Amino acid sequence: MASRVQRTPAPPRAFWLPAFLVVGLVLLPVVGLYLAYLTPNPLVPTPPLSMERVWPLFGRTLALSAVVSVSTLTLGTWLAWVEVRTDYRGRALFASLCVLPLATPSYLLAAIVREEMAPAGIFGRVLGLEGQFTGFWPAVLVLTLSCTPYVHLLVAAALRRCPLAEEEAARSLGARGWRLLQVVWLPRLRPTWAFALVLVGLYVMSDFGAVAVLNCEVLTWELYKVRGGRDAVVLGVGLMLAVIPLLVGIRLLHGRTASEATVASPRVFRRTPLRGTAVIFTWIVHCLFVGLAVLLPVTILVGWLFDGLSTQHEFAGLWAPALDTLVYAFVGSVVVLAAGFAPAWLVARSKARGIRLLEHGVYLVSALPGILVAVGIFRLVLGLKRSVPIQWGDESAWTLLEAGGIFLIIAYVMRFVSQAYAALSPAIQRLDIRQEESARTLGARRWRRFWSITAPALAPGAFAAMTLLFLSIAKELPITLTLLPLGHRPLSYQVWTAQQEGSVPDVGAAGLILLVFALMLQVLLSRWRRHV
Amino acid sequence: MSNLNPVKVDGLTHAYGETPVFADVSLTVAAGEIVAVLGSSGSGKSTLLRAVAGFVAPQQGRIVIDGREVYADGVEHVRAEDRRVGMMFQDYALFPHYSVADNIAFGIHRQPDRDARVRELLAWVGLEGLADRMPAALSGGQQQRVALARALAPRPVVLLLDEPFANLDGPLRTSIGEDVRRALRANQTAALLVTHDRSEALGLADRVAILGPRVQSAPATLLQFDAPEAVYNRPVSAGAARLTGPVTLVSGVGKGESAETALGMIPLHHAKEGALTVAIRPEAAGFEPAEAGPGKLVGRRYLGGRYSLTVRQGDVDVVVDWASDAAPALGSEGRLAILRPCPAF
Amino acid sequence: MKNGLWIALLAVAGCAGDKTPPGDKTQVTAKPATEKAAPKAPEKQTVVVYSGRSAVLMEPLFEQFTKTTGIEIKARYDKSTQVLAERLATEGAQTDADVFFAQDSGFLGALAKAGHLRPLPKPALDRVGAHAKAKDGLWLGTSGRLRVLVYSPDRVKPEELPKSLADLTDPKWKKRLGWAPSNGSFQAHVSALRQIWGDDKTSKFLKAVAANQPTVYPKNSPQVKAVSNGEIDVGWVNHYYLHKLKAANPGLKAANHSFPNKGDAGNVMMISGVAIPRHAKNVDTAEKLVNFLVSKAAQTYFKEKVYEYPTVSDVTPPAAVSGLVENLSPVSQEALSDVGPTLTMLRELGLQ
Repeated sequence: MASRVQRTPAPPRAFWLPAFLVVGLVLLPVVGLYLAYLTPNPLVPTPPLSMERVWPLFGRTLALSAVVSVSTLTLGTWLAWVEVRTDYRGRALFASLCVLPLATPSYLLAAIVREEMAPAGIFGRVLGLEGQFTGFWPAVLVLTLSCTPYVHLLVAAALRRCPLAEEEAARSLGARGWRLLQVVWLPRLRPTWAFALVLVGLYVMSDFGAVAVLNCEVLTWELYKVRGGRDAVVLGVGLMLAVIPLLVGIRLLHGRTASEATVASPRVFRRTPLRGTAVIFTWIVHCLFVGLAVLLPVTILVGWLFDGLSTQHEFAGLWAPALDTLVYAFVGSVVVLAAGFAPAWLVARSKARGIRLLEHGVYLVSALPGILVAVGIFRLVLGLKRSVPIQWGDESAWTLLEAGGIFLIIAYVMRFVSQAYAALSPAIQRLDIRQEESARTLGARRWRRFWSITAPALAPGAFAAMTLLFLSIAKELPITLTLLPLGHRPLSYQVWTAQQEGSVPDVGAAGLILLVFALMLQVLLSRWRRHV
Repeated sequence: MSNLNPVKVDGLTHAYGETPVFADVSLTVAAGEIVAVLGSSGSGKSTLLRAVAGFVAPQQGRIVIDGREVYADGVEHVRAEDRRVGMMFQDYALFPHYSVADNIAFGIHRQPDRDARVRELLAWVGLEGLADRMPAALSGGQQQRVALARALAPRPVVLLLDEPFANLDGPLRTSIGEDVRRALRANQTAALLVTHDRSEALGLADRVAILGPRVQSAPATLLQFDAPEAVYNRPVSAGAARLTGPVTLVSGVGKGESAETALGMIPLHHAKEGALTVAIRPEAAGFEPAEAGPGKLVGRRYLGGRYSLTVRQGDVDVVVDWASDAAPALGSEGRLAILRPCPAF
Repeated sequence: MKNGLWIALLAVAGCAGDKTPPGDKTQVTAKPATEKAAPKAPEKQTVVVYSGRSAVLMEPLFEQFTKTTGIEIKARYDKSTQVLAERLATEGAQTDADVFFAQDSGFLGALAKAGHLRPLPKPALDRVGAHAKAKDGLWLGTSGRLRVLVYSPDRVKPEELPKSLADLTDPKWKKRLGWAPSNGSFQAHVSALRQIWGDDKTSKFLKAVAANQPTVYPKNSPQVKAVSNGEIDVGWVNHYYLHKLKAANPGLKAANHSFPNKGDAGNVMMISGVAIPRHAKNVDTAEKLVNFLVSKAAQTYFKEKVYEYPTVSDVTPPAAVSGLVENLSPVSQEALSDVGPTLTMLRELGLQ
C-alpha cells in the first residue's frame, strides 16, 4: 500500500495574531532598554561605564562560557559513553539519577557550595581552604555540575542512534580502536558536540543565580546591580550582542541533531567492558556528581535547617512563600502553555511559505537571558510610567498591571514559551487528521472537534509540558526578583534574600522545600517522558 | 427536484497548484447503490472522494448531494459538517478516547433516541456486549464494524469509503464487504467506494467508474462508468481494460464480425471495421496442444486448482486461464484458441 | 465523558489562580489582602513603602504599626537603595510609593536635591535632633549607625588593631580584610571621608586598601559571619550587626572595634532615614507612618532589637554601644548625602 501524504486542513485564521504577538514579545526588552536610554536627568549623574570596565566583564563572561562548555562536554561525554556503551554495573541506576541535578536550582547549589567551602564549612575544614570560595573558578565548578546533565542526555541520545550495521561493517573490515572511532562515531558525535557546546555556552552566559551568589563578575550579575541606572543600557546591549552568535548557532545546529525522543536501537550492541581504574574512576565521578548535585545539597540544607532549629532561629514565614510559588508557577504554566499553542498549531498546519520562521521566532524569544528580559521589562514599565502616564481611576494603570503580576507573567511567557512549543509541536504533528475528518462528517463543528478529539489527544503532551513549565517557573530567579508584585515572595526570592543576608537557616528552610518540590516534579517528568 | 440520485457529480476538475489531477469527472449514485471508483495510485480517486465529502475544493464542477447543490464552480455552499455524508477510512479512525458506544453515538449525541439507536446498530454489526470496550482492545475487523456503525448512525445520505478494507485480510475483507452492502441496501443509503483493488470493485459495486491514470502532465479522466460485467467484458479503452483485470491487447483490423490479427481471426462482440485493438481476457483464451503449432507454451504458473499459462504465437504473448489441475508442460507446442467473442476498441 | 473532565480540570485550574496568599507573618495585614484594593476604600487604609532596609529588620516594626493603627503596609524591599531611588525618580508622578525608607542618607539627599520629596510633618521633624535631619525638612533620620571594624578575637590581638582608619592601608592586612563597596553605608562613609580628608587623600586611601585585596561582600552582615567562620579576619561594617547576630547565636566569635583616636575619620555615625515622595498617593497614612517611626515605641525597637542609636532625645542609646559614640568624627549630614561624586570616585577606582 503506497503511503499517502495527509492533506492537513488549514489552521484557523484567528491563530495568526496571538502567534505574532508571542514572537513580537522579543521587542519588549529592546524597547525597555531604549526607553532607559532616553531617560533624561539620572538621579545621580555619574560618568558612564567606561569600556575599560566593560571589556573585562565581556571577557570574563565569554571565558566562563567557554570553560564550562568544555568541562561539561568532557564530563558529559564520558558519562554518556559509560552509560550507553559499557557494561559498567551502575549504569541503569545512574541513568535515572543523572537527570535529577536538573532539578537543583543553580543559585541554591552555589549557596551551598559557597557556604561549605568557606574555611569553617564542611569542605573548607577537610580541604584546609582559606578565604571565601567565590569568583570565577567556583562558578565554573557549580555551573559544570548544573549543566553536565544536558550534555549527558544529548550525547547519550546520539550514541544510541549510532547505526549498529555501520559499526559491524567497519569492524568486519578490520577497523578497531581509534580508526573505528574516527569512521563511525566522530562524524555523528561532532554535530551533537557542537550543539551541546553552544547550548551550554548560552546557558552559562544567561545564568544569573549561580554567578550572583558566587559574586563572579560577569555581564548578568552586573546588569542586575545597575538595573536602575543608565548603565543598564550598555550592559543590556552588551549581553544581547554576546548572546546572539550563540542563538544563531543553536538554530543552525538544531536541525542536524534531531534532539527529540529517540528510538533505541533494536539490536543490543556489544558493550565494552570497563575494568580496573576506569571503573573506580567512573564510580568516583558518579558519586561526586550525583552526590554534589543532589544528595549533598539535600543533606546540607537539612543540616542548616536543624542548626537553625537548635539555635531557636526566628524563621521567616514559609507558608506564604510556598503558596506564592505554587500559585505563580501554576498560573504561569497555564498562560505559557496557552501562548505556545497558536505558534505550534500554525507551524504544524499552515502551508504558508516561511512558516519555519515562526518557529525560529519562538525559540529566539525564549533564548534571551532571563536577566535581560527582566531588566528590559523593568525599564519598560518605568519608562511607560514616565512617558505614557495613563490613569485608571486614581491609580496609575501601569502600577495596577504591575501589582497584578501581568508583567511578571509576560516575562515568564517570553522566557519559557519555547518549552511549551517544543512539547506541543510534536504532539500536534502526531494528530490523526482522519479522526478530525470523521468527526466533521459526523456533524461536529470546530469547537466540538477540538474538545472531543484534539484536546484529549494533546492532553498527555500538554500535561508533561505543564509539569516542566511548573518546575521551570518555580526555580526561576532573575525575573522573579526584578518584577515581583508588591507583597509577594515566592520561595526562590526567599532563598535569594536569605543568602544575601547570610541567614543560613532560612536558606536551609526555603531551599529545602523548593528542592524537594523540584525533585518530585523532575521524577514525575522523567516518568511522563517515558510514556509520552 | 427528484431525489433519485442522492449524489451527482458533474464535470469535476481538480489540480494541486500547477499539477492537474483529474478533469471532467461526472457520475451519479442512486439510493441503495454502491459505486466503486477504480483507478491506479495517484489518479486522484481519494481526492475525488474528499471533494464529495467537503474536505477538498476542486477547481471546477458541481456536486449535488440529496438534491442540494453543495459545491459549484469554486464556491462551497454547504460545509462538510452539514453535508450528511458518512465516511469510512482504511485505518478506521475511531476516536481512541471514546468507548465503542460513545464512538457510535458521536454523530447523534443530541438525539433523544441515541441510546436505542446505538444498541440497534451494535446488534446490527454483531458487536453486542462490546459497547464499553475501548477501540484499542478490538481487532481490525471489529474496529471496522464500529466505524461502519458510527458512520451509519446519523442516517447519512451517502457513505464514502476510502479503501476501507485494505488493512484487513482476505476472508475478513469479503465478510465485512458483504455486511456493508447489506447495511446499505437495507437503509437505501448510497455509497461511493474508492479502491485500487479490482476484485473488490467488481465484487461489491453495482456500478464501476474507472478513473484513468495520469499520463505525464495530463489529468486523469473518467474512462468508463458502467456495471461490473460491462466494464469487465466490454471495456471501452485499453486503459479501462487493464484496470479491470488481466488482459492481452492485440492490434488488428476489423472485418465485420471478426478481426484479423497476428493470432488469426478473432470473433468480436460487435461488428467493427478498420484498425482496432482486441482485448483478450484469460478466460476467453484457450490452448490446444499439438505436435507442432504456431504457438508455444512459454509461461506456466500454478494458482491452486488452475494454471495461468502464457502462450507465444505470432510474436504475441497471450495469457491463458487453464481451468484444471493438469496443464501441458513448458515448451509444449500447440495453437491458441479464442473461446468466445472479445471486445475491441 | 472523561475527556470533558480533563478539560474542565484545566479550565477550573486556570480560573482558580488566585494570586493573593492568605496573610501571615511575612505579609503584614490586619485583614485578608486583595491586590487591587483601591487605596481610598473606606474600610482599609494602606501605605506603600520602598525600603532599602531588609525585611528581616523592618517587618516586626511594620507589624506593630499595623496592630496599633490598622493601616496596612505594603513594602517593596531592595538591598540596593540606589535602585529604589532611581526607580522612584523615573516613575515620577506614576509612582505608588508613599514612604521612602533608606538605609543610608546618601540617596535621600539626592532625591531631595532633584525635587522628588515633599516636606515631612512638623511634629516628626521636631522630635529628631538637628544632626539627624535635613535642613529643609525633606527627610529625617530614624536611627544612627556607627561604622566600626568587626574582627576575630582568635586571630587578631586587640593591640594589632588599627588606631586610625588610615592604618588599614598597612600591608600586614593583606588578604585579611573584608568590605562591601556596593553597600550604602560604605558609600556614605566614603562621602564622609571626602569631607574630612578631601577627595585626593580619600582616593589614595581607597586605592591603598584595595591593594590589600580585601574580600568583597554584597552586604555587611555576611562579613560578621565571615569573621566568625574564618574567611576574613577584619571586616568594615556597621556596629549593630554583631550585636544582632550575637543575640541569635551567642557562640559567635567576633567583636567590634572602634577607632580609639578621638574624632578619627573611621568613627562616623550614619543615619537611616525616611522621606515622603512628592507624588505619594496616601499622604495622610504616610505621615502617620513617619510619626510612628520617630515615636518612642519605634525608637525603642531600633534600640533594643536592632542595637542602633535612636535619633530622638527621649530614648537612650543601647547600653552595649553607648561607649562608642565618644570619639565621633564631626561630619555633617549634608556631606553624607552627597553621593554623586562618591559614586563617581568609586567607579573610577573600579570599586563600583
